[in-house]
Amino acid sequence: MMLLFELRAKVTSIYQKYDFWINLALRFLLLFVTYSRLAKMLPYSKTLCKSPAIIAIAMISAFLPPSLMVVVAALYVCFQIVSAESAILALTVFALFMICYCFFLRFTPRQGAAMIATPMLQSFGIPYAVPILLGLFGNLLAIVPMCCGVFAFYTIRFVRENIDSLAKYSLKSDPQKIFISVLDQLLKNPAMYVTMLILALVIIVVYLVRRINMDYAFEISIAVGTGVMMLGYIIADLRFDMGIRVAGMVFACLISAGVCLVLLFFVRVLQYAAAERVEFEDDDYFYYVTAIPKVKAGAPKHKEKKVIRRRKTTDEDDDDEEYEEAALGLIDYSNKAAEGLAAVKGKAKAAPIEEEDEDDEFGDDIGELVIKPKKRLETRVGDVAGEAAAGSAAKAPAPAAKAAAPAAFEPAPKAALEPLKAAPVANAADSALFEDEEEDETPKPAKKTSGKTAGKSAGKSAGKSAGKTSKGKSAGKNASGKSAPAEPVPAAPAAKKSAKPAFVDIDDDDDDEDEQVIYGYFPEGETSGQNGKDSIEDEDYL
Amino acid sequence: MVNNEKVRLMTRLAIYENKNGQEDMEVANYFRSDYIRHEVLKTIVAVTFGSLILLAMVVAYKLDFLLDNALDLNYLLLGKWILAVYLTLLVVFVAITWIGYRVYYQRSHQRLNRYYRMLTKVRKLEEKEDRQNDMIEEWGE
Repeated sequence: MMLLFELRAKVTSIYQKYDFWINLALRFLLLFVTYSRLAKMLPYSKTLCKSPAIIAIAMISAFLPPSLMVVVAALYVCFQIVSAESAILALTVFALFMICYCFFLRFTPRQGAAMIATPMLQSFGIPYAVPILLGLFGNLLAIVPMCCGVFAFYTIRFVRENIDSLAKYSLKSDPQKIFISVLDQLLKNPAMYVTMLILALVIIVVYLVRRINMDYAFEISIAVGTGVMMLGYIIADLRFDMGIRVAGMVFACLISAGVCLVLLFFVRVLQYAAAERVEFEDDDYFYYVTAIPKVKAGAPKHKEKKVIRRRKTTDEDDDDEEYEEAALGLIDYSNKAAEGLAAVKGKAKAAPIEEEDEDDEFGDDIGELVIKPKKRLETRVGDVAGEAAAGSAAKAPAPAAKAAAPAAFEPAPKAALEPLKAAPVANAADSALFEDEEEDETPKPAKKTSGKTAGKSAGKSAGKSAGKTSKGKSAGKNASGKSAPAEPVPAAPAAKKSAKPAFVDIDDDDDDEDEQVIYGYFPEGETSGQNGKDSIEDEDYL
Repeated sequence: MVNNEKVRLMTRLAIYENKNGQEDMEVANYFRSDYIRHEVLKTIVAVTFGSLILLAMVVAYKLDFLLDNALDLNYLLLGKWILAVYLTLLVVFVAITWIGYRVYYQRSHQRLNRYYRMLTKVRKLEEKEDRQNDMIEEWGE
């Protein structure tokens, strides 16, 4: 599994570097395959079927907006039909495409790729992945271009199968017969409507299931969508005798589901991973900024649990497990934190503040923690990876009852929360643009840590542990690390166990202070003003 | 000295401008009612054009029947039917357009509001910077 995560991280980093060219190449590839397929299905114009012509058209189309891409493809089909000396047929097909455009595609101008991909994949006999992907990453409006794509496929197939007979009519100058023949055979084809219905149903089901607030909603939606599709095609074949080979269809559906899962694994990250390059200026400077979205992959949950169990040796396991659950959002963390506070307050006042060895990375003592129950509960949106990473992080700040440097301890609980927010990646993209504004209205999870701590730590911190370096930094590095010594007990349980902790402070303040810490602090070597390039980071971008 | 907080805000503003900003600002040039009317008008044109193509195709399809019964046809009734179908299509698509673009306008407006709030933040940061610079100059003197 880690291999896959690493592979995804590599793909993400490559994509961040060359996102523009990769997008362009993918678009070109889609169009090239589409036009090659069209040239095979309708090989009537020798010029248009030559590879240089196909490459040129695909290349030009790749730079066009999606709605124009569709228009160019429609014109290509019409020119091919005209080349078969069947102008009336070409006119009829063009009129049908125009009706599609006027009534339907006008409302979904950005989904031209779906309109092109549907007939292309259908011509290969594998249209099954398209509705699932549209349901996963699109919305219900995707039904419109997909149905238009199915219509286009059946139109092209009809033309290919009947071009000879229709051309014969044309030679006899009997355009009306062509017309009637086209409309009769094309529009009275139940297979086309049934296919549209099944694929539309799959989009709706996948879309609705993946929006349900539950774990693995995307994966479950793929499974449900695949099931609906197989069932739909089997029923349709029994009812309308569509000539589908059931075994082949089921196999293709399962392969499509596998492809969708793989794409989900990558696309859910890559969708939000593209670097933004922006330029702006103020009175003093020109800024050339490359904003790289933070995309982190946490370790799998079960691995972290193993580590946790290895660390448990004391009688307080029950308590610790309770707090582990609290850290994972399974029980109300704030209650536990309050209990811990109440338990420790008396002791903390009386207890002398003791300095501990910095190398005591597994110490149970807590110096000063800032606990933000509300924010912690909000981070429940995190996925498995994020939760697992949070588990490993909670113990990280432990080494210290160092009251003299409270700020050094502060990052740790926040670092623990960072992966919870970051891992699902769903918070990036557009909504993230205005996160500052939203912070005013709804408090965000305390996901920031001093300097480049938790945010940078996803893949780097395996071997590092708390207390080995300066505390603020190391605590953050452990936050989402893979093998950090883990005991997901935040402040309260440790405080219960020992009289050493100086104090525990529950802080419900807003994030203003955090922001100052973040943007004002740069670890050594992270920034250099010499070459005029600095790096700034916040919760979404680097 | 570069103000990191300001850079961060300005970067977000610039990213927004690159993504949705231009469209949103175009939309913001209209009042909501004007914008919706504009889109409805475009829909009316498209539906009318599509309906004409559809009518032409139906006529071509039924040409034999129409020519055979050219003298017996009740053209008034036929015209009413055609008009009824056209109006039905028009009402359906106009309703979809009206609802869809109303929602779109609201979302666009919300994004733009946030954008302007962030601009205000940037402005305040700049004012703060200016005040600090003034103070430093005063102390220097």
